[in-house]
Amino acid sequence: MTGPAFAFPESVLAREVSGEMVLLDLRNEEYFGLDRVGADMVTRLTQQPHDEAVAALCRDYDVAPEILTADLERLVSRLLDVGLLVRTLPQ
Amino acid sequence: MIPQPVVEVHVRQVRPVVPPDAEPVEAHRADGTTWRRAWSVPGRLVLDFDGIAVLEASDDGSVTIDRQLPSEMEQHLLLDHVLPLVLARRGALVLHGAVLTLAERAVVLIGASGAGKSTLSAHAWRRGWTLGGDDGAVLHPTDGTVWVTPTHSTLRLTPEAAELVGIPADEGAAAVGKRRLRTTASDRTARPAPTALHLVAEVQPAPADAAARLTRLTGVAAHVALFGCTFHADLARGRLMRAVVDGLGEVAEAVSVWRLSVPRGRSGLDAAEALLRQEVTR
Repeated sequence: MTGPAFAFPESVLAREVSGEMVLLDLRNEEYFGLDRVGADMVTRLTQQPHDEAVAALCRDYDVAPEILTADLERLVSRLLDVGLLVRTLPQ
Repeated sequence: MIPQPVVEVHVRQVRPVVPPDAEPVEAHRADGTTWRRAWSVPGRLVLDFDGIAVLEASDDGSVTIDRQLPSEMEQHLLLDHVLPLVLARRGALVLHGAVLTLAERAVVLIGASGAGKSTLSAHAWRRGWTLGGDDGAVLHPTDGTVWVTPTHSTLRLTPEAAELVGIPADEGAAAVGKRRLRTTASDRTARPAPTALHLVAEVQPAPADAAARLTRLTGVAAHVALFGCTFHADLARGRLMRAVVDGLGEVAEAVSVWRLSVPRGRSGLDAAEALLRQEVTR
């Protein structure tokens, strides 16, 4: 059984606020915000195995799977780039 | 039992203050120049107010200043800069904001320097609100209620602001270009009791001919408004940041957070105060 594919690095504080999410990077004290959909995506990706998270998102959102997957990849790529997420599993 | 912030400060003799051998956290003016360097290290907080003084606040409550200062400047630095930072270093959630109360419901006015927090506070005070203080608000979220206590019971006004709200320009004591007024008639050791916080309003000045307006902020927008005026979690370099981020999350979910557009001039103050009164007594 595999765990979540992504995690918040130790230097990042994440807090849900009314369904949205604030992310604070302590290394540079930059502050980021995610809307409800982004917060939901990130929460699932950091709590569930990747395939389960994607399947659950496809189930819960009324959107074509390829569009959802593309949006998810774009969000994850951006968060990885700025160091707000790290991979916990080798690619 | 709601804890009340207590800080006992003893100003020690004037003597040189040596900053720690570490990178300071700098605070900048709008033009990019530095007005304060801060070092928050175990046992002490050192603040270098560029060209004015260097202060050291030790965890035992003693404060050392590196030079003799006019009493109004010393009071300003201790009350408006050192006190809230000492409280924040002790884990308190401190907002840079004014505390107003009406019908046992508290409002905290936050906003950038010069936004008009003190002027609106003074105006509301003249219209029957209780004014706790205009500089620092200590928040204590507990069981779905957020309790608030002002860091100290004074109000600082420019002569122009005093005139605008009808307070004699020579009232109170000189306070570095402003007048400092006591907001309570009680003796100087009295501290206002914690009051349940009803709303936080981020004051934004607007042109005189605009309408006063309250706009609700939620989620990230509410959190970022609160975070931007938190006294000064950044000094902890992350040590206390988790508690600050979580505490502000609790506050953002427990009370309503608004943006309050306040048109310039007396009629703008009238309209903004009326909006706040309506929201608080609703």
